[in-house]
Amino acid sequence: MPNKRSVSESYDPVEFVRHPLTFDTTVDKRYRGDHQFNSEDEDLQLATIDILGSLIAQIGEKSHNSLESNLDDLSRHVIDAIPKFKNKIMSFLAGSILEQPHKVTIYSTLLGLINVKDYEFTQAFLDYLLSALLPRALQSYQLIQSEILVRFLADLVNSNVISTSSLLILFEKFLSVLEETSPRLRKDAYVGLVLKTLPWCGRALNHTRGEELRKMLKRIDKYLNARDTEFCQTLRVWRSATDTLEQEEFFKAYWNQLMNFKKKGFTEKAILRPYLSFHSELSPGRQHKLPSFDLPEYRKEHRAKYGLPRVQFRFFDLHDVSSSELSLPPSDSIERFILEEQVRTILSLDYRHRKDCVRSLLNLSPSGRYPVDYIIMEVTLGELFRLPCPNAKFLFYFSVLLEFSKLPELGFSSLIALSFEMLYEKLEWMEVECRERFSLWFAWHLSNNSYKWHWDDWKNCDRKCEPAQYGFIRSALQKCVKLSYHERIHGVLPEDLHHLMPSAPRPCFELFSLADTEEFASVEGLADSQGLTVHFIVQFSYLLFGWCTFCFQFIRLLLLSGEYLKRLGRKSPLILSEACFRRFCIGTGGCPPFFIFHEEFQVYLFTQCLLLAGSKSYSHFISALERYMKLLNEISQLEDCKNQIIYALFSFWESSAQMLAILMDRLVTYRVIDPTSVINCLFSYDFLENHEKLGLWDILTATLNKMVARTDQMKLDIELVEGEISYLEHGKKGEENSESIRVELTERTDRLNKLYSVLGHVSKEQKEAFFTLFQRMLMVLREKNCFYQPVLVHLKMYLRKYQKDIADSMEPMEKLIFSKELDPEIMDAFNASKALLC
Amino acid sequence: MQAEASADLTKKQGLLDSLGFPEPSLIITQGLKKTDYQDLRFPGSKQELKEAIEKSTTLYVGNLSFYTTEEQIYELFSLSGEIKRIIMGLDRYKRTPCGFCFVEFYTQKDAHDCLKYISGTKLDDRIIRCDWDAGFIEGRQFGRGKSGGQVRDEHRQDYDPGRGGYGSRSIDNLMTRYKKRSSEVQ
Repeated sequence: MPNKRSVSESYDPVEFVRHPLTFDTTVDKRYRGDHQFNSEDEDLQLATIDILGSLIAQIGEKSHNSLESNLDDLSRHVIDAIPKFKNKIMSFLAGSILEQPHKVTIYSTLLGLINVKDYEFTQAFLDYLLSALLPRALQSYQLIQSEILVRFLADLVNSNVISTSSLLILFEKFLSVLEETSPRLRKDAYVGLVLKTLPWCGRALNHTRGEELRKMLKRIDKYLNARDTEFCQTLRVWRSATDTLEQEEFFKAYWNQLMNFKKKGFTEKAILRPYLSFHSELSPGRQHKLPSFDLPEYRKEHRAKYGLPRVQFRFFDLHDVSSSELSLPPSDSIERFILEEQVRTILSLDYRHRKDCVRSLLNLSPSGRYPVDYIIMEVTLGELFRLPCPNAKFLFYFSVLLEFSKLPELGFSSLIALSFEMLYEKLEWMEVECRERFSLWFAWHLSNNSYKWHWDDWKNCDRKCEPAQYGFIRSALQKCVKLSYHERIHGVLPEDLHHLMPSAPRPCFELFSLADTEEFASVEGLADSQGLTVHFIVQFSYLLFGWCTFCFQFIRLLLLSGEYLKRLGRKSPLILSEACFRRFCIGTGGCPPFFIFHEEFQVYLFTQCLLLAGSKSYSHFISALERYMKLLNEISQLEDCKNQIIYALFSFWESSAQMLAILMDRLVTYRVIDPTSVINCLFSYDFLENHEKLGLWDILTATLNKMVARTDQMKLDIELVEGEISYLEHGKKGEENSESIRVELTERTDRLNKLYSVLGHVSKEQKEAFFTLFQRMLMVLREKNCFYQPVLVHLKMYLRKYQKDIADSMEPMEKLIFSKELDPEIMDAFNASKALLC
Repeated sequence: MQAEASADLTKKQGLLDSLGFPEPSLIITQGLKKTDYQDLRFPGSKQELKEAIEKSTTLYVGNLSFYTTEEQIYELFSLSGEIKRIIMGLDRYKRTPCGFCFVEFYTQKDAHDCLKYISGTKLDDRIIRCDWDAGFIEGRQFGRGKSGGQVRDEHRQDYDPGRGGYGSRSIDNLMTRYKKRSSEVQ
């Protein structure tokens, strides 16, 4: 009986590597009382077949017997089980291939051995792959799965299951995309499917069909050379190419490696090939022809789903490897590609738990003597720093690296320390977005290791000599403080580094009691005649404007502030702070006390009181916000007052970027302020001056992300509903005219129409926000003052990051905003990001 | 993420079913969405509890320090996606945090990613544990132990400074309280 192990149990890494994989079996369902009862005999058979499934999944892992004998045994068991459990075996095989791409050659050998004894099953399995799994993966743009399946199919030529001619026909099918007038992304995706299999099947193809292979490669070469690779410059992680770090576009670099591979006669040393030891057993098998299928059509809305282009990321060089027996293959060799591709494919799958990913990576056993941990580190860092954005969340890469560092036998923690040192030295050439990710990784790593670090090494970091490192340390410390608390980091750091820390968070309420401010009263120009008291205003306004709604609101606000006055326990009259006074007096052009009636001041005052009420913790703020939601919604309708909310927030929490970020996030989520007003406020000069301290760019990025995520979610919902509608219309046969179908259809169509109208509104808002963003940024850039560098860097980042969202409005933007008189740097960035999605 | 939704779609359309083929049996990449914890005070049947967990986007986070702030939790969990709200677990009598919380996300994938990547790592120098929760109902934020905190803190015998020292009903705690009370009486 297989062990039942659940996800929530703690995983012991060493134990995990030794124990077998377990999964929910059909037998379990019987115990949970969900399914009908089977007979004893059937149960035993089901249990046995599930063990077979485990065996298929685990073939190739550490065992006392050799891989060849395991394969032999397994193939015999599978052949015996096929007559009764054909579908189950197919699903086990397909699942193992899709989940363990590094074992492609092992599974093709297995299928080869099965093919010798059972021709029909292999035919059915190939049918399954080519009529069901591969078309489905291609249609739903699951490029990783398609690559894995095509690689498996290509490797079948080596185990005598398919003929090289049928494989070439399959490749021709993929390459037929080159004749279409579809964008480069689609063509690149299909060309990639073909090219990436060559390390596995290149030798066999060259041996039997050398001439056709050469023609095909020539055709691909022509296509690759004709492409425009202007987009590369925005995707590079390192800004200037140093001699050890080449950052070519992926296909160019890979083509180099392929040509070197071809020169060596398509022989390589990295792939483990078990079928070589089964040569005599495999030769009696009859070869199959691959069934044909149709490629999905090109659809314009899905242009971004083909996967954005990539540039090569190289980090380690030959002399970085400390061990003398293991050597890193040179960067232009095919072995490097094979190792990296295997690690990259494993990292691209969506695992059940991070330890499963680590386990797969540990099972990588290439046949040569290579330092696999260096490759893993390099590829993980490459994926983490991938621009515009990596495949998975940053958290995935952080946690995988953390898991590796917990395995002492590998010595991974010293490798992490080495990579960290290398990255730290090269910081000034690193793209700013990648520096942020690096500092986030550093903060996460420290938070899991009790903040132990050799801080003393950084005592002499100077702002002028090493600006990148200085900025990095500050940013990392800010993130450390966010993940823990100010006093903790203060205690850990040595005295010399305290100036790099962010300030301790302290709320700053602008109204304060007269009793506290002896020095305030002595400030020039603020004598009693200009000092205002709240009581005075109440009497005065009530007399003058007793019936005005405007005043009614104002009184409501004042009563509110009165409430808070009571809570503060202050009986003495309040005075406004000088800055507040000046801003409103001068800004509204009113003379005291009349400016008090101005809406903007009221909103400012109200927001400050609200923030004071919610200053104790995050939940307090949320409940205060929810209590006065209606009033806030009214305020947000007034154009000028929206900005006052933001000003009030920034002046209250100017000491803590973390609180600012969190609270702004909530305000935007509850739609009290919209992204356009955020953008307009943040680009005013008082904010730009303190952009680092206030974490301005983080707030801006978070707001834009939220806006974009909302549109994406809408589009996804629309797709789902459209899919449901088409399923109802065409899917069910024989029930087309039934009443329930018609009712469901009308309901779905109504929902779809509603979604479309909301999407229209949301897209318009988004377009406006992006227009405002770029306009504002260019306005600052034109002035060429001290903010030029940070704004330029972030302009490039946003153009690249949100490319798929602004793709539709690139033309109007080009006409209106990005006209030719701008700096060449800016125009280059614009053109490069335009080229990303072509 | 969009590819996932489209894959679900084609599954619904039954492409594989209609051709008579089985689904590939994915072991290590398919999420197992279940929890061993059965909330005995859940207002509903076992079946309803199971369904609630299937649809839930809320996580229970445990083994927090009593002094961990919401901002820290927000910062850590927002690495996985946008947080809808955080509800701190409070002592039933003292109304102070007692070492657990509920984190609610907008999407199930974000919550699932927390289980994959954050559960078992450290927050505030303590290893935290995450688990699926059936959904927050008012009243669930209070500890269910006799002394107001979590049940696990009742008879805990070891000294844990982040969780109030000794367990609230352990011998050491009772001894200290008795000594203090009796000295006050005298």
